[in-house]
Amino acid sequence: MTPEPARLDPLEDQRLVDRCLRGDAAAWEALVRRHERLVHAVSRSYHLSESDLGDVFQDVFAALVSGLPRLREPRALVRWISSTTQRIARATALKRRREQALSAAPETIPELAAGDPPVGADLERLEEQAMVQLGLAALSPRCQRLIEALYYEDPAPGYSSIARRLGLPMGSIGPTRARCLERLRAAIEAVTRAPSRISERDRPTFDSGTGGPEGFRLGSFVERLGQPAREDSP
Amino acid sequence: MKRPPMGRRHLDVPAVLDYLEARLDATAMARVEDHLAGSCSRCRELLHEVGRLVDAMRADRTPPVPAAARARALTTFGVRARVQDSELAAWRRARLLFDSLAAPLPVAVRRAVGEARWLKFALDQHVLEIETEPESGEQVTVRGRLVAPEPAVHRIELVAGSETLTAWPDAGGRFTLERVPTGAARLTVESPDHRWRLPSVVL
Repeated sequence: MTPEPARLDPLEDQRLVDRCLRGDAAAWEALVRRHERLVHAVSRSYHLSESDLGDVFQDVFAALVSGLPRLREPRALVRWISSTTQRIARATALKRRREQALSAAPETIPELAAGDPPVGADLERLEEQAMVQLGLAALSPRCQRLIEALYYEDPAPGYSSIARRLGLPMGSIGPTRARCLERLRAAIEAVTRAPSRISERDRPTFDSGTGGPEGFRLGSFVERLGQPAREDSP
Repeated sequence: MKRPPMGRRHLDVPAVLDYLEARLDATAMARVEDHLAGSCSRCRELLHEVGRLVDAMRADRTPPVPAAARARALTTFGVRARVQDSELAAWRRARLLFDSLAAPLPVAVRRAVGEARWLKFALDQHVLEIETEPESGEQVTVRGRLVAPEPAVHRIELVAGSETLTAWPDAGGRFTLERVPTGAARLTVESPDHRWRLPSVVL
């Protein structure tokens, strides 16, 4: 199935959800592709096996299928997906660790070294990145390719290499990147300001026993757009 | 209209990006810094916002989503859509094969399972085993195992009182439903092709 192209539309999630509720599988694939990166980003911070990662994907999106009627607004969806993924991925990781601890001889259990990668997701950072991705998906393919090359590739290629690759005059890279970034800011703001239909009652909650987050900490920068600068801003 | 001198002019996104990426010459850099050091909160805000956006993109190192994981996500809707489409698909009735309440377990087994209750159902050729364990006076945990080809594409729903709980078994067919209210409960199992209604049980 060919994925549907993204649209510059802050209500895109809402439309996709409505179509999903009518049983449209293409809309479901589009919705999965819009949000799968966030599920992956949160899950991989728990260092899960490939098979456990598949289980987490299935559980998160199965829960999303059940919650579709309530989750239409992009920011609410992003919050819900990151929190639900964290809860499921953490439970999967704990279960696996418990199984390993029970089945292995004590001397074979590796000790945690100070240099080991941290376990667990920084939800605020990942939600910010997900909102940027949603904004990016709404830009023209040319802007998407330029921004991906400049800011997502590591190491970032030089202007001359990008100009060759994208067939742009080298002198236009700087002005084009600024225009694309302005459009990206506008798209993020449009997505962020889309009307919310989620009620407080429907927000997922966590009890301390499951080790879930204390509360939502959505990236403040998307919420701060358009608000007065803080005095301590760099 | 006469333009204000460079140091007093507000910054725009291109200027902020050039500043952040150190693409300005020393004079232009000094002008921007002078402006930011002044009382222009609007430009400091723009700098903060653009800087944060660029940082968020640079810090995003999520590799491509594995195709297998995406396929699992897509499957979840496949089950729902196909089953919904086929309101037609008649409900099949599952049979209760065993209930440890009705047929007490041998003492040694009872000692091993404690207060848990075991139930076993036949869903045509498949088998669903569940174990219920009291959590508190009014809630139980239901753990189960579905013995069927591709158990992970089955959706298990339990309706107890006003609560509807849903589980998707893992690849081994295992699933857990927590905080299930005690009392009469109705279980259903849906696969892409069939759906079964289980006899009511009192948890």
